[in-house]
Amino acid sequence: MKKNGFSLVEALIAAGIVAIGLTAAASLVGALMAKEELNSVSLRAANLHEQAIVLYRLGLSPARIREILPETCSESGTPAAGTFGLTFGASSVVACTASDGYSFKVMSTPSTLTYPIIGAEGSVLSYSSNSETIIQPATVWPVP
Amino acid sequence: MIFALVLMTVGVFVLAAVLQLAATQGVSGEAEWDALQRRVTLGNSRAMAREHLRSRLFHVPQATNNWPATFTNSSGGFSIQPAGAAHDNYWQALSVTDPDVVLNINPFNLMERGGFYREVFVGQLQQGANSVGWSFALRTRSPVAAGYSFVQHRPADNDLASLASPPYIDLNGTGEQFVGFPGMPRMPMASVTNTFTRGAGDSNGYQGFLDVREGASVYGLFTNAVYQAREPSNQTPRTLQVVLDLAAADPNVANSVLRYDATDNNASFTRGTNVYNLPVKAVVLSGSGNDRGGKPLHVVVPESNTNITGLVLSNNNARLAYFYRQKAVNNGVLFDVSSVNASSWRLGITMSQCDIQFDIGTLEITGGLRTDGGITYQGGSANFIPETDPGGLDFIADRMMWLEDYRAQQ
Repeated sequence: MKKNGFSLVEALIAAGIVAIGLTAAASLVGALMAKEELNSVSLRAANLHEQAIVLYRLGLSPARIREILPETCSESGTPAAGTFGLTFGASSVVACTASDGYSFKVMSTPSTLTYPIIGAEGSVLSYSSNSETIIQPATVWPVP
Repeated sequence: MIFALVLMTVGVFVLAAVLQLAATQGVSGEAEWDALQRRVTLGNSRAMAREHLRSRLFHVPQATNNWPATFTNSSGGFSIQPAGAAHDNYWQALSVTDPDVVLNINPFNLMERGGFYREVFVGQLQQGANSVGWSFALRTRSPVAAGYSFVQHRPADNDLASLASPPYIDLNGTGEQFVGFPGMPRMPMASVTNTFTRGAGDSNGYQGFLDVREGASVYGLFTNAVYQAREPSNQTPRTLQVVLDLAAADPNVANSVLRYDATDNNASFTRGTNVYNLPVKAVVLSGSGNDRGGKPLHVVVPESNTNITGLVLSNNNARLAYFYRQKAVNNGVLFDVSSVNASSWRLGITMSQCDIQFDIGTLEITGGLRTDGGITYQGGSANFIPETDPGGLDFIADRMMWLEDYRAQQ
């Protein structure tokens, strides 16, 4: 006798496969969302650090830079969720000599930007940071 | 069944697209840090290149070899060389030393003004692992030659403390009107000095304005046809003056300087076969009337001379003349500029660390005044109008110099 439709076992197997697929998809979506959030923070951090470096090259003080940047910044190495840590180290004069024998001096300043990695519950899982060395002319007039 | 398969296929496609998008975003996020690194390195390289060019080109004299100049470290790097084939004359032109170097004198107009010189260097700036083509332009001009009639600026940092007074203008006798604002950054600049000669560089180098110097090969002595010393009948011997006659024929060289003996502050000059050495108190420039001909006359009163405290403009003058008073910070003189029987003068004046006092009646001066000292009008008025024919000032007039840079065209 020819049967119409699916048997219970077939339906259960199909439902199981679909459930596994949905579970994987849900997990993937969650991972993607976390990755997207991380990318978003990373992009904001990169743009923020570049803006800070440009402002520093213009002669603004670190405090003034933190004040006018569009994100909440502090000097902390462990900034709170949604904020950034931005530091400029002590500047040092670096004497350089080019291949033509002429010496010149530049000012070297390290800068580090730290940003928190946020978990699903909004808690800080870890911190990521980026460090750059800023070279400026040896003579920079201060800008208030 | 078919519907289910189609649905699954579409679902797989959508899922694959979402995954691809997420992966792309991830790559983009990582690439942003690389881009930041490249841009920071490029900025570092630009700062290094500019400092190197400032170090090499703004100090004179400079060697003309060893190009290209290259430098690299972990923060950036550059490679620079002159754009033109003639590498050996740029620094002479910019350092006011060589009369044989002819500068590019742009015609006077409202956009470019006059008296520019430009030297272009090309180079590569490090940008991450790659490099970017970059151009550097060294430009210079004399404010007076450029048509600026009045330039007043802060004095050099090193000498401000010992300056009698900061720059000021007292136009009506009611008090000193200060230029700028309290706390204004001091403008680095060179004084008009006589401290360097060709082959021995000024240790201070470029500080905003290039030096005008005494004793260089560009200068020469006026002949006896030009010089004469006299004691005006209505003045005492202590106001002994030297008269430089701009109506006279050209001297033996294009530009001349009134020389002084540093040991006794006297003016020394030649008349006939005799060399005179006199305690001159003032320089009289006797004008050429309406005759614009003749080579420019340059008169430099050097730092070593503390006797000269006055300049007298006698008769009218249309011949280009330029008067320099080198720094007089140690003697605190108030340099007096007066006129006799004059209503129109063609004259550039540079006063260095020396307050100037105008007592000239009503006088129209075609040219300009540059000073880092005070200005007082004791009487009359000076009407400055721009110099529009700066030929002859190109390699002698004090000048500012600056460096421009820009990304090379691809």
